Amino acid sequence: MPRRAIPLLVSLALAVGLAAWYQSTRRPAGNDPPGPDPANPGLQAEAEPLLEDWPHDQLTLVLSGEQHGYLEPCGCSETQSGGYSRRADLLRQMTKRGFQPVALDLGGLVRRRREQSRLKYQTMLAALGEMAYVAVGVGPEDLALGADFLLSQGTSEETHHVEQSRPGSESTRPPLLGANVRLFDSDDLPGAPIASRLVQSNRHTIGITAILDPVLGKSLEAVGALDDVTIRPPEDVLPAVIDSLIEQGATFLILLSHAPLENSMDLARRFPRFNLVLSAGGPEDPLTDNPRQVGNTTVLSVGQKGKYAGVVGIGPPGTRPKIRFELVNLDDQRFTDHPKMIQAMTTYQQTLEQLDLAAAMLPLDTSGNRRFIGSAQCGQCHTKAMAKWTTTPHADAFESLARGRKGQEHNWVPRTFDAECLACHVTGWEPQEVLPFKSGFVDRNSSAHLLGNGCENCHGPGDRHVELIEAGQLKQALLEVRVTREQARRKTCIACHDLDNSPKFDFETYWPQIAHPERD
Amino acid sequence: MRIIAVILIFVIAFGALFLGVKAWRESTTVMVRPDDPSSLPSPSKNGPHPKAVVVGGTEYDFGIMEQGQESEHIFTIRNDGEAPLRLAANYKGANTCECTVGKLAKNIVEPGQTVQVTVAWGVKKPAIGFAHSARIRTNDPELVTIPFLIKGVIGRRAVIKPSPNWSVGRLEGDATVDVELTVHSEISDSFKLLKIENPSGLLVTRSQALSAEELEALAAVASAAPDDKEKIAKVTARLRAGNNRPLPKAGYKITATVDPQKMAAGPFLETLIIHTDLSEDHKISFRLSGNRSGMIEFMTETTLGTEWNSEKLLLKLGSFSAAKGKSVRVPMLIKNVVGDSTIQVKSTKPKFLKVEFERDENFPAKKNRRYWMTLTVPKGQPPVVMTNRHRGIVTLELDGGTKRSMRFFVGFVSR
Repeated sequence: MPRRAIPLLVSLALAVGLAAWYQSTRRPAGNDPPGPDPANPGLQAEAEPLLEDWPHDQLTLVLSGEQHGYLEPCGCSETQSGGYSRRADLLRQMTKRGFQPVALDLGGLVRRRREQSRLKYQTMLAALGEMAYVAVGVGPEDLALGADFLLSQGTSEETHHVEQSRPGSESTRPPLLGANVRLFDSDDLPGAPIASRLVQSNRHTIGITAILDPVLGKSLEAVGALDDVTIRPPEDVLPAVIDSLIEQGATFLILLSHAPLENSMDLARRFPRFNLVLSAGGPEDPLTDNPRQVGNTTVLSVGQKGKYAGVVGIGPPGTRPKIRFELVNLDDQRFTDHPKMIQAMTTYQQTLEQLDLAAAMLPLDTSGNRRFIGSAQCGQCHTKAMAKWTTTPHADAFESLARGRKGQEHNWVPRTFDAECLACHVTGWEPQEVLPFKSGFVDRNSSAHLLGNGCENCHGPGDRHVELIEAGQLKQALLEVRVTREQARRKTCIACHDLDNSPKFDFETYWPQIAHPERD
Repeated sequence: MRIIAVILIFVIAFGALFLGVKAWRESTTVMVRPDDPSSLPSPSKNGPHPKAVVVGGTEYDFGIMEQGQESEHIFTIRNDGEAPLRLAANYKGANTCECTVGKLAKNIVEPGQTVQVTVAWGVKKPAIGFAHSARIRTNDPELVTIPFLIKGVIGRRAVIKPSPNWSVGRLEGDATVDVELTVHSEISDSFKLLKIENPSGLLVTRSQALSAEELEALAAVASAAPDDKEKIAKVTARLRAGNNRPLPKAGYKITATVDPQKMAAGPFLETLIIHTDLSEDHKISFRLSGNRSGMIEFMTETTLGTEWNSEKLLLKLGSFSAAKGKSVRVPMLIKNVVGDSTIQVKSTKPKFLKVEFERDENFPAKKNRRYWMTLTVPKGQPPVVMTNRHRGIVTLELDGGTKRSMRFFVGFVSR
């Protein structure tokens, strides 16, 4: 090495060292960020604050509702908000910080009316019990599961004072509330939704009642889904319920109003003795105009799909207790999985497997009674398309249900028997209706040729195409399986890559990843 | 000495260059790593502070959009404060459901300057309305998070009312049942119904275009009875003025007739595929479910070890030893039988099932018959699992005065 190069090399080394030192001492973006919270190392100081400066000794409610089947964060994308696990973690964190949260749910736990929905409802109600919920309303979707089913889920508890239980304590199924809901035309059936409940917490005696707006039951009534259910006008039942709760010493009245937001506000206007009305029917993300004030009554929404939990702090009993509200986004920055909820999900999936519900579903007819033949058969002629498909996540879609996505494997619960997952991870199902087609996937053993999101999910069942090819009718054969780019963009892809399950989906970005030659 | 001087000059020059580039970069951008919350802007403790002002508000209404359509709106943020306003978008958890994307033209806004934020939205899912947010983090102590809200109404190319899934419940008798539905568009002023396809061929359908009056009644169906013209007019006027719900523009009424006699006993699921010219190869499906009563009932509560599910027409025998087999004798009711009819076993699955009947001659009901049925799984057969998916099937036939084919399912586990 020439001697003249030594100073240059030493200078460079020093400069690089200086740069590295500077970089290591560089602060995170922001002018003057606080350091990490030593009391809670799991929380990054820069994560959005949670219940900052809230007093612990006041009545604190945790409100949820309109879960619509989203036991897990909305959809299957790991970046989504919500899920029972994170909600349980919110309650755990609150309890650890000294709060005594009283949890209430508006109802609307499920979305569909199938055997799987009943199992999910049972799972969710038990999980709410684990989280020490003190009351759960009923939504039209819950009632549509059947009056007899609902009776089997309710508790036969009468209205009475109870000590508030805390998350983590021995769980009991929370009572179902529905002051204007009557099953089998009878007012005193054990297990039927009860009119109201009293709960004591932090110097308050909370009187809780719930209603279901008859308007929400109309579409279900029309298809005979609400047989044996009577939904009375709320104004017919609420006066007596309110009087009874006040007579029993309620200091704070809450209405769980399963009604459109405008109707809930109307109820707040007509029944001003309610301090708080939790309403359904708001936007999925109720970030603005929330809560609203109607006289002395606070009307609030917590959105849909369980993405948020509403936390309400209420000052000491008085003529008008001070109310504070925070809509907590159940994100993955501040909240983590809760072991009991993972266990609930595991049990749910195992029961789906034992009952074999997906395989027992009544299948749909396909247009023209076409049959699915499987991607391997397509690949016999379309070798280039097949070669491309095997490199895409579509080919691996079923296995991803078995082992979990990259980064999720550690506590993954296999979902290969869950119809709601299978619908987009196998071939031959109607994804949005979550129903199999005749000749579509049944299970791994009997439908090995239909594993993964195969050719026929986009192009349609292939048997007729093969028949036409063999008959030499090439033009008709092509028409049989043709999918235009516009059809794919507007309809085909988003059947699975929808808002919930593929929030980052962008056709122009994703399409090139699966684009394949039409023929060899 | 000379060497040290050269080194020092190099170090100073390099350091100056590095710090200069650094300062220039920091004046125009903030390094935000989407998964690292520590990289987000946060307010200074001591000031001076920036002040973020959203020109024209944080909310925008897209109006009516169609599924698959994409649109965007540009919001403007102005810095009315005394220090640079630092901004971050698209960090983890910034956008609800990741459905909106906030794009920042720049990350640092000097006092008095503005920046534009593009919020894009693509309608991926059918729904009546949407309201989603994209959040921007700032170092303004009074506005740490700016929630931009976009909302709108989604118009659908084709809609089936009252529901794309309909149940006719349990069909006990033989009388036909009519189901009425409508298909309408919230996008097109007119369209053609090309074909109504029922792949099984078990339903009979007819259709008719909806009149203007019927379209209005359809719009107001949630609030007004079909014959309450005054209320329908009032409701549709309110809906038009509110502009928050798409209205039906054109449509058809479809009647589907179910003939119980054509349906196999047990639960059924029929599909109508409605082909239209709303777009190339456009079709929309209607599903009709129900349960055709099998005309058979078993009274198993009197019999130990068996259970009858009348909805699924499933007779459960429970679990038993394959070596020993199992035989049950259960009372069975066959409904609506007239004249001299005899019952015969047409087939069984698995074939080794044995079914025998003994009529209860003293049963008093005129239209119903009672039999004692003996169902036997013979001993020594191979172990089988006959559950929901692989049920046994017994097909029976009545002849004579009442000719009818009937079936029920059998479930058991032999070990």
